Order: sequence, then C-alpha cells, then structure tokens
Amino acid sequence: MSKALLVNIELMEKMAQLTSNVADYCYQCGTCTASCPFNILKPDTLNPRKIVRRALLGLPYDDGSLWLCSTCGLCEVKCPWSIRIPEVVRGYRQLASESRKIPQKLEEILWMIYEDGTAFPGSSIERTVWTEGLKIKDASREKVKVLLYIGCAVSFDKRLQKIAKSLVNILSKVGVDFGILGREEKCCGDVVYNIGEDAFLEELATQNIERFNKTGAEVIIAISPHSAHMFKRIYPKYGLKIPSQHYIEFIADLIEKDKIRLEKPVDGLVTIHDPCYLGRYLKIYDEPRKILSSIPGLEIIEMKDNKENAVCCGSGGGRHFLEVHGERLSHYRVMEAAETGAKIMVAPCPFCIQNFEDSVKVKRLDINVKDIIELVNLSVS
Amino acid sequence: MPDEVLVIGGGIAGIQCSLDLANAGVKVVLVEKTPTIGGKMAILDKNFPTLDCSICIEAPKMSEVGKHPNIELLTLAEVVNVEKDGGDYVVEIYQKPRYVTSECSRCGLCVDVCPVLLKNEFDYGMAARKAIYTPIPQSEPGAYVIDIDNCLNKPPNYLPCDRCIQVCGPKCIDFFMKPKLIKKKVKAIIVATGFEVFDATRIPDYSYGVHPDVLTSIEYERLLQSTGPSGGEIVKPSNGKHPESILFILCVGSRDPRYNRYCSRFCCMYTIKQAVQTKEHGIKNVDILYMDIRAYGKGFDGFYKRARDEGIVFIKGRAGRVIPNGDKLKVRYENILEGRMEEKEYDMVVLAVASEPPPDLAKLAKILGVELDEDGFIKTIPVRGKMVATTREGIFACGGASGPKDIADSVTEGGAAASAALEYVKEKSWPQEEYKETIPTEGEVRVGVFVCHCGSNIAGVADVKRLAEEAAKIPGVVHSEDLRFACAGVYTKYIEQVIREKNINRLVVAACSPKTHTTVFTGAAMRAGLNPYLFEMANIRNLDTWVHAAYPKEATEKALDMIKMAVAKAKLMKPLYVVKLPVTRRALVVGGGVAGMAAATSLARQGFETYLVEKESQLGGLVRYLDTIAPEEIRASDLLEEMERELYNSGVKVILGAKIESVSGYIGNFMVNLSNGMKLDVGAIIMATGAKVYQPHGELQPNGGQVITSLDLEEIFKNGGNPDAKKVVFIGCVGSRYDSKGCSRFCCQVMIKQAIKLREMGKNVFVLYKDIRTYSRKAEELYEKARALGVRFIKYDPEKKPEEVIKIEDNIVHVRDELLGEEISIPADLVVLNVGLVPNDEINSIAEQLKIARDEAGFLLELHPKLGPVESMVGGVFLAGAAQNPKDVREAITQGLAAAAKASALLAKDTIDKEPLMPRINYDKCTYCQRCVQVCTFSALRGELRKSLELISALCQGCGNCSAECMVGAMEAPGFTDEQIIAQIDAALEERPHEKAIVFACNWCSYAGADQAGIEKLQYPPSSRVIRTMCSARVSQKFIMRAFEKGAAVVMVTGCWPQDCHYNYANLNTEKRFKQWRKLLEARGINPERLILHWNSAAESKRWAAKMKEVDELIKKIPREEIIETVQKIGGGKK
Repeated sequence: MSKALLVNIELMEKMAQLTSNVADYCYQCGTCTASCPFNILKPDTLNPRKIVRRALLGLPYDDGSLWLCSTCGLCEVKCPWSIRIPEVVRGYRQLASESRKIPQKLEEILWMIYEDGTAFPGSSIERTVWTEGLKIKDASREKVKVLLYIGCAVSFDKRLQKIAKSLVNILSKVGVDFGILGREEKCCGDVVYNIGEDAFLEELATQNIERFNKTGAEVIIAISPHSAHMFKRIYPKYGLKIPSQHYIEFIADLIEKDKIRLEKPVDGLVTIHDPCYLGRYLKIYDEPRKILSSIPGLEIIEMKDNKENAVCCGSGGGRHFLEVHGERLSHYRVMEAAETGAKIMVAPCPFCIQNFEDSVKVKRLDINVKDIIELVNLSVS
Repeated sequence: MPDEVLVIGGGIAGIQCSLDLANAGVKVVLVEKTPTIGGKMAILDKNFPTLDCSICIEAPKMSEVGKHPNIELLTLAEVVNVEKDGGDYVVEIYQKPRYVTSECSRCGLCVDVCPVLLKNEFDYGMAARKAIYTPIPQSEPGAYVIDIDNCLNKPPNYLPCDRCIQVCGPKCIDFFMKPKLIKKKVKAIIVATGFEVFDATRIPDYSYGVHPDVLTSIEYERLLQSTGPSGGEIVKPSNGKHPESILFILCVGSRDPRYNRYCSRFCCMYTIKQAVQTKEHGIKNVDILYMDIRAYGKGFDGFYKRARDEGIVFIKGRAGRVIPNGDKLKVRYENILEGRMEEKEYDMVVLAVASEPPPDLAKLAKILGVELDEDGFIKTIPVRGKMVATTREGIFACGGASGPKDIADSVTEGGAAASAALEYVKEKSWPQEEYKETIPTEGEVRVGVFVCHCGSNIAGVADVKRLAEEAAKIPGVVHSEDLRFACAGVYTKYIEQVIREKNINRLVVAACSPKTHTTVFTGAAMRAGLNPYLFEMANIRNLDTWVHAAYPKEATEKALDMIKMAVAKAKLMKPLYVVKLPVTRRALVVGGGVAGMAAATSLARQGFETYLVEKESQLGGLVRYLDTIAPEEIRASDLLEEMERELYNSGVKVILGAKIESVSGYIGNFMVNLSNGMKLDVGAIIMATGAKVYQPHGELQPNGGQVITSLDLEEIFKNGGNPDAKKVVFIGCVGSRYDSKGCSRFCCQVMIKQAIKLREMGKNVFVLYKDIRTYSRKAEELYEKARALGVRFIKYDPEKKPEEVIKIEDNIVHVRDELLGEEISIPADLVVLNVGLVPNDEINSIAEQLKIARDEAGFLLELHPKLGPVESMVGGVFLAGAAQNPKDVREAITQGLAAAAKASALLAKDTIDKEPLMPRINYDKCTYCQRCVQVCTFSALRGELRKSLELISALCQGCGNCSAECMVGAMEAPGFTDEQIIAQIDAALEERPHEKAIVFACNWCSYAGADQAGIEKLQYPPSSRVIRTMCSARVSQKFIMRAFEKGAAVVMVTGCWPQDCHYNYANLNTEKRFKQWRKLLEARGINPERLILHWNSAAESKRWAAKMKEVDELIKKIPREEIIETVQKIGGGKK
C-alpha cells in the first residue's frame, strides 16, 4: 500500500471551494473523456473524468496534461450534469500557480504581461500601428460612448488587424461615437485567468477597469470572444459595471435596427465555426447566423459539429502560447469545414483565424478563413 | 347488486389486478385503450432472468381474463369522466367500435384481401399490418379489429371497399357499429396504464433515427421475437444482414437530468437478457456499456454472472457519440475501469431507452382527480399508502403507471392494488353457468361429429364433405356433417340443437385449436344438457390445412386420421365433474413485521377472520431497529405505531410470543399448533417470516469501536445520537453479492440515507460500493442528493468480497478506487459496514412441514419469479416480505398486500373449484410402491411403502406425471387415460403407419408452438399425428411401445423447455424416462434414434416446423423392413 494516494480532506475542501462545488454531482460516467476533442485526435490524451475524480477525492493533480486542456467546454456541454469541468481544470491550475509549478513558457508569458501589458511580442507603441491613416478617437484622452477593445492578438498581427480595420470602417460609417484606448490598452487577462494566477489577474483587471471607467463609455465592445468573456463574466467580480458586448452582438443589433445596410452581394457558400468562448461560454449562436444571412448572395452551410458541438481550434485556456505536438485540432476542424464544400469559413475569433489559416495551408485546402466583420464590410454599400 | 371495481389498463399489472379481484368475487370492469390486453409483456420475446417465453406465460392469464365470468373486458375504450357519488365513483367510458363482432373465427381471410398496408405499431413500425388486423396472434379478445382511420370505408365514405365483408364467412364485419358511452358505478378505481418508452431522437449524439441500425431496446426485442418482424432473426435493418458485433447502451434517457433524473429500473436486466440471447444467436461480439449494473432481484446477479461467463463484455462507461460510418457505427466512450478512451466500430447499437409516463396519463389523472409526481407518473404514497394508494381515496395505481417497474414488481403491485380495493367491496358475486345434465351418458355411445370449413381455411385445402362422409362411417358415430363456421353463433346453436335432438353423448368438432375454442363448444354442449367433458376437438386447421396447404390429398387423409383419433378417444370418455374442495375461511399470517401486518390488516378489513402469530413479544420485525425509512424519511417508529393501530382496529387476532410448533394439511384446510398450546384451523397461510441481518465475521467485522454495522448506526440515530467521528467510511455489500447470495436490494438506499445524515452533521463521508443500486422510486434522487451534499463515492472491485479488497489499518481505510484505477487511503475515524439480509433459518422446519421449497440462497421459493412472486409452490401458502427475498420496507408492505389478495380469493367461498384432472387410484391394482409419490412435483401423493397411498386432491395440478410412472396401471388420469391415448395411437396408425410419426405434445408449450406454426402458415410435411396431453410427463412407456408396435416410423415426445414447465419441472421426468426408453429400444434391437425428445416453446413456431421436416426426413430414411421387424419384435415379445 506504499504507493497508495492519500485522500487529503483539506485539499478536497479547497478544490470544492475553488470550483464552487461544481463537480459534486459527478457520477463518473466518462462522457467528458469520450467527448474531449483531444481524445478524438489521439485517444487518452486527456481524461477530464479523472481530473474531476481527483478533485473530488482531494488528490493532487499536476502532471503535464493539466496544461493541455484548451478549456473549450465541450465536455461541459456533453456532461449529463453540465458540470463545468474547465472550472476544475482552472482550480488545479490555481493550485499549480500557488506552488509555482506552471510550465516555463507560461511563466514567461505572465512576465511579459506584467512588464509589457501583453503576452504578444510587441510594445505598447506598436499597438496603434494599424490605425495609421484612420480617424479613431483616443478614448484615453476624450470621452466616447462606445469603447472598442481591440485586444493584443488583433493589435499586433498584420492579418488580424484587418478585422479591426473592417470594424472601425463600419462603426465610422454608421456614425457610432466610439474610441479605442490605443497605447493605453492592456491585456484583458484571459491567459492569466486560465493559468490560474488569480492575484495577478485581480491586479490586471482592477487597472483595466480603472482605464475603462475613465473613458466614460456606456458600453465596451470586444473583438476577441476571450476578451468579451473576461469583461462579461469575470470582470464584474472585480468591480466592472460598464456593460460589455462582443462586437457581433453590437453589429447584429445595428443590422436589426437597419442602421447597417448590407446591399452588395458577396457570393459564395459559407460555413460558420462557433468559437468556444463566443458559443459555449457566451451562448452567442444565433447572431453570427443572422448577420451572415442578411448578406445578399451568401449561402450558409453548417458543419457536422456546429453550435454547442463545435470543435475547438485548440487555442483557448492558454494553449495559444504552448507548443502543439502532432496533429492539431485546427486541422481537424478545417477538414470538417472543407467537407461541407464551403469556400469561406467564418470564425469570429482572432485565435481561431490564426490557427485555421495555418491549417488550411498545411492541409492545402481551398477555403478562405474570414472574420464575420470582414464579410459585413464587403457587403456594406 | 354486486360491487364493481374499475381497472384501467390491461397490461400485466392490470391483468393480475383484475384476476385477483375477480377471483375474490368482485365484478371487474377492465378498460384497455388498444384492441387487445397484454400490454408490453405480450410483445416481449423472453423474460429475465429465467428466459421464459414472455407471451407463453402471459397468454394463459390473458385468456383467463377473457373467459372470467367476473370480468367485463372493454377494449378500444377510455375513461372520459369520473364523478364521486357518495361512496361510489360514477365512471363514463367511451368505447370505440371494433367493427368486427366476437363471432370472428380468426380465419384471416379478411386480412388477405384488405388493400391497405400500414405500419404495425405492435412491432414498433418494423413490420406491416392491414387496416383489418389482429395486433398479436394471441390477442384477447380474439376478434380482429378494423383501424377505421385508415380503412377505405372511413365515414362518411359509404362502403367504397367491401373486400373484407365479401370474404368473411361468419359475416362478423359490421361497419355500422357505433361508439358507445358506458356508465358504471364502481367502489374503487385502479390505474394500471403502464409506461411508454423514451424518444431516443432526443439525444442526437446517439444517431437514432439517423442510422437504421441504431435501435431502441423494444425494437430489438421485436427482432428477437419469433413472431416479430424478422421472424426472430437478428438482422441489420439497413441491409438485412446478420451483424457480427452489437453494442448495448444503458441509461438512455434515464439517470440523466436533461431527460429523466430517475432510474428506469429494469433496463439493466433486460439488456443483459437481450445480450445473452444475442450471444445465443451466434453473434460474436456483444458489448454492454453501463454505469452501474442494477441486478437487484432474485437470481439477477447470477444471471449477470452467467452473461459474463458467456463472453459478453461489460464496459463501465457512457457513450459520447454514435457516429454513422457507412453501414457501421463508430462509438466513442471511455472504458472507465481501464481508464482508456475507446473508439470502436459496431454493426448495430441498441439503446436501453428510459421508461416514461404514457403521453395521455396527465389527462387521465385530471379526469380521475389524482396528482402526478414530478416525473409525470401517478403519485403514490409509498410507505403509508403501501405503494399503491394515490392522492385520492379509493383510487389506486400499480405497475408502470406509478413509476418504472419490472414484470414481477408490477404483478406484486397489481395484487396489492387488488387487496387495497377489496377493502372497499361489500357485495361479492359468483356468476355460474348453470346447466342440467339431461343427455344420458350411460349405455350406448352416440358420437356426433361436426367438421368445420372455417371459410376456406380448412375447406380450401381439405375435402370437408368427404371428411364428414367418412366420419359417418366410423362405428359409434350417429351424426356427422360439415359446417361453414362451427364456432359462429348460429352454428353453435345448431350443434346444441342436434345434440338434443339426436341424444348425442360424445361431441367431436374437427376445426381449430382446443386451446382457443374448447369453451365455445363445451358451452353448446352444456346448454344442450351434455356433460362438458364429453367433448374432443380435432385441430384440423392449425395442425393440418394451414401447414400443408400444398398437399390437399395428404391434408385430407391426415384430417381424417385426426377425426378418427378424436372419435376413438371420445368414445372412451366418461362424464367428469368439477371438484369442490371445502375451505376453512380463516387466514393465518406468520410473522408480525411490516409485511405480515399489512397482509393481516388488509385481510381482516376485507372481513376475513385473521390470525397473526409473532414469535417475539412485540410487532414490527426488523423495522423496529430502524430510525427512518429511506427514501421517504419517515420515522420507523411512527410507521409502526400507525400500522399496529390499523392492525388492531381491523380486528386481527394478534398472538405474540408464540411460534408455530407444527403444521399440516393443505390448501383450504391447514391445522396449526402453536407453541402456546393454541390450535388453529385455517384455509390460507401467509409466510411473512422475514429475514435476518447478516452478522459480519472475519477480517471485516464490528469491533465495538471504530467499526460498526449499519444497524448499529441506525440505533445511534434512533436515540438522537451523533457519532463521535469526523471522517466516516461506509462499506457496501457486506454479506451480499457473493457466491449464490444476491443483492439485498434495500441496502444502497439505506447506506446513502445514512451518509446524507452524517454529511448534514458536517462530517466527511466516503461510500465504498460495488454498484450503486438505487433502482427504486426516488432512490436515484437520494443518490443525487448525497453527491450534491459532498458525499464521495468510491467503487471497489465488485468481483471480490469487501474483506478481500478493503483493509482497515489504524485510522486509514485502504482500497483500490476502480474509478481512478489507483490504490487510495482514506482517513476514517468511523467505518460503517452496510449489512444485507440472510435467510431466517428458524422457519426451516415449518417450511419443510409445508413443503415450501427454498431457493439456492435459502429464501422461500416463489411459484414463479415473474408471475407468481407472492405464491409458493404449495397451494394455499403465500409469501410476503423478506422471507421470499430481501426487500425494502415499501416492497415488503406491497408484497404483504399482494399475498393478502391471493388469500382473499382463496377464502372468498366455502369451496374451491378444481378441474377434474386428478388421478383416480385403483387400489385393486396399486402395489404401494411409492414411485408416484417420488415423482409428484406438488407433493400431492403420500403414503407408506407396501402399505398405503393417498391423494391430496387439493395439491394435485393434474399433470398426469404419476400415471406415466405407475407400472401397474393403477393411476388413471381422467381426460387422458391410458385407454384413451392408446385408442388415439391405434386410430392414427390404422393405415400406412410406416409413413407416420406419433407426436406427443404438451398443452402449454409444444402444442401451442404447433398452433403458432399454423397461425404463421409455416409449411411442413403432413406425416405427424399429434396427441395432446397436459404435460409431457403424462407420456408413459406403454404409449411409446404401442406406437412402435402399431408400426409408427417415428415417435416423438415434445414439451416445454424445462424452465417453462407448467408443472414445476415435472417434465424433467420426461427427460429421464426418455433416456430409459431409448435404452429399452436399444436392448430390443430397435433403432433408438426413432424415438425423439424435443423441447419447443409456445413462440417457437419455426422450431416446430423445422423439427417436423427433420422428422419427415427421418421417416423416409427408415426402411419398411425395419418397421415390420420392430412390429414383430414388440408384438412377439409380448407373447
């Protein structure tokens, strides 16, 4: 019995507290493991059931697989008890953070955010490079009604900057009073949250909230679903009062109110990928479809796994910054998209777009990866 | 006017309830919304764990309902209004027209001509039916039915199609039948509306409705059924090919809060049964995906083990997804005990779908004014309402209507509901068909023969004119003629008239099966003034014209043989009379636990003088030691107080502190001596003797400190205590589920209840279990509550005894957590051993005196695990509570009531009727060798070697086994005498015997199987001549030898599969004798292969037809000379 694991009641209670007892209902049926996208790629990569099991018994869990989970939440959707298994994963990551047992790469990321305000290579000066030639209010200096939160990935990546430009173009056209924080914008903390470094997250969020408050904005619009999730679900715990939206909600509303007229036809068959944090976390499924169906000429075709069954691109939960060995989830997902015969794959999430564009190249597929706003921009007269 | 009770729903619960009520003298109105009674049980193939053929054991009950003078059966009917009128309920019943009258002879000609093809809902849409149809071959009532909504004649269309009317011989189709609104005044109402199955399309991940090879369990059951859509072949609906691998998925729509939180209770067992059958069909890979195996009933764990031994793979896990992949299905799941993710391909997937309330139950509940529970079932009051009381006085529920239940539990509840309703009944009634015997039977034998055409069913193949002419030539026949539809009203009246006019004193009807039509003709005989036992049928339809359609000449010859056989037998018949046995109308309940108290109270309330004897000085049994009763959280002491009050108020004579010293007698007449010197004469005995708590010993036993039993913990709770411990570990299945000892049923919920209580006191609680078996109503919800509160559940190796895998060391419990796949150590300052129940051996001597058998674990053995759970093998002795098998308080009380209903039926009259099939002992011949005593499976014969022999008529079931055993011909079996059977053999073999096989068939299974082959028109060669007896054990050596002596090519004895035997395994004697006969033949130089033994269930029509072909081939292979030689050998040997 020397190898026996000791049931640690303190740890058991701590995990229960960290995860607000979400796992209690678990009867260990294993549907989570059977549904985990990582296991579809390669069996026995990740065993969410055992993670929950360990939490329930107060057993330590700190092997590498803890950092493999992309917190995509498919397990939660499939769980008969809708147990928020990603919460359990985050609970264990919190424990790991407390004892400084996190992967070195993520440790570095935390330092980057601490020092530069972003997990992406780039300084705050570079944040506004993409705005050159555009007339955008600087919300850190003047009052705006709508604060547009660009997010790090979009700010620094040339490809992703197109999304911001499209959005800015449309908002300007419609005459929305909006602005950006520009060089003052800092990381939303999604990765910090998913690493479980809660003390740092609190500091980061508090500072961000202060900046947001100063703008006098009535609403915050985020481009990344990850940021939107942070502002909607996490920041209120740290005192954020300003309502926030993902840009899709905002745009859908403008279309609904006939403020945006989509008149130019965009021909093609399009399929929609529901990003985890937009879909399963924020339950935004109908709006992207509504927007696309109001673009003349576009025909929508659903993938086999859609809406709450959508397969993750592999980048959530801090995975964006970690190496991937072997087959990628994004490869699997673009193959699913290609199966539909669609020529355009819409993925309203910067992480997803980056991954899918890579995968499309690797798999040599004839499919264009776009953000929804890019299509909207094409259709606006 | 006699009191009436309304039963809604004609499934097995409603059938049992109706029969119990009707037998107890109540007028029953049984309302069924479909065209036939039988319910779900009638469409199942086999039952677990005995693998009984489902319809074979249910059909006799169905026809009993149809024939019962106290039951008014209303099919196609629904209750539309209920109003209270004083102590009565005034009920309005809307009955849709059947459009076919009861004169229907079930010939099926209408079906052939009907042009409308529809899906058969009784086959779950997997096979077709016509607009005029019979739902199942064994439908009750038997008349066909017209589905008017789909018939071309649907009003206002005025008969555009009259094909069925044209071909209908008895002219029984009537499109002008009108719906009826029937009003009834009843004393009580019983809801037995059963369940429906979960719509599996609600779980898109399982691809049901997307891929044709994903089936629900009930669809799969139809595939297994030999009268089902695939004729009993397991085939893939997608391509008709045999699958090589099948996956069964459990808990589909059950134990899943998105659909139904509750456990559907019986899916584990029927899935194991289906898997075993699948394996028997030769399918290689059979996997079952389960969460917990809930094999909670008697013999269930043994069956589960058998399944594993036969190579069925049980995988703990739940399917993530079933993905169609061409004609295969890819299934993803985690194999939890291996901790491995699997993606496996199967040819077929079967979903064990949840049992749900029928969609219209809510409407009915509203009409009845009763509440539904949160799951939509009829709300019952489990402990106090004895499981069957609804929220409204005088209205009861049983079976699936009040929550998922297996057949045995539904039958028990049906009985319990009957008993509860009986308490409301005052006026009982016994309608009897009076008849006066006016036709002389002594002297000249005057046989009347009637040959039925059955439309073209018989006349289309056999030459019925010639049959009637030939029959007229048989000596003794004074009248012979052919009739178009002998069973139709006008013709039976005509037969009645001929009997009277011609003084016919032996009646022979050559038509269809005696199993379905005997009462039609005996009714005519009785009305004419003839003793009904002077009647014989020749089944020239099912056994002849239907199965030899291509051989009209041979079929006519065979029919003639059959008529000759019937006449030969009829001529030797003697009038018989139903035997009346006296009954002491007094009941004794042995045991004063909750089961005994419930039984006694109900009987006393029904007006019977009832005694309850309890060995202890107080009532309550084991419940006395409990704090609360799970899952309802009722205080045990409150319940006992209430039950005792009711017991004394009801007038039961309670005798405490006394034991049964000795008991003798038989059904209706038992003499009991008590230890206090009292003597009791009673007619019925209910054994409610309970069970004992298992005393743990060895390595895992209570130590007076850190380790206690669940009973000790109850004691602490009862005294308001709080155990001095912070960390508590429960160990389940201590003294259950090992060797032949099965699950103790109640313990999981007790353990969980205790765990919750300790958790609520702020302790850390761990539960070590084999499988969580919270199968009963609201028990799964208790399990859910425990988890929600933070009780932790750890699975240990279910194959091992707990002491083998759990070690307690200081304040640590060591165990391997099968879910994690690792050894873990749990800190514990209190360990609770959750103990099960073991048989109460103090009652062994009473059981022996009463000849009540015990099962392999030592509990009292029931009459039948499915349909006779509260009866013992001994007439007049009933079982209640844990004496029969461990059970929880609710189940024990329910069983107590059900046993009371049985006793009530027995005690309702001064006498009980018995069919006159009991043997007559010829004391001149008897040598008192006691061989008959040894073979009687009902202990109906007793005596002393060389001195005496006595028949206890009350115990005799009339199988004829003793007659066959008797070497000197001293046991005459009325209705099936040696002379009669030999006369049949001789008549059958009068001409060309070398081309024939004499086939003995038992009334219940093999004859029914032969009938069924006819119904299905399965063709086989016309070489067999069937002689029906009640049991194959009636067949004696002289019949075999006589048949060979008369030149039969082959002799075959057929009967029920041993587990299906209707006479308590009497047919094992057949098997034993068969071996001896073969030896005997061999010794005489006769090829023993010419004697065949064949088991055939009532549903195995194809098996019957196949065997007949095989026999025919055998006949053809036997050289003529060999047969002649045999005849000489036997004939010569005699001289």
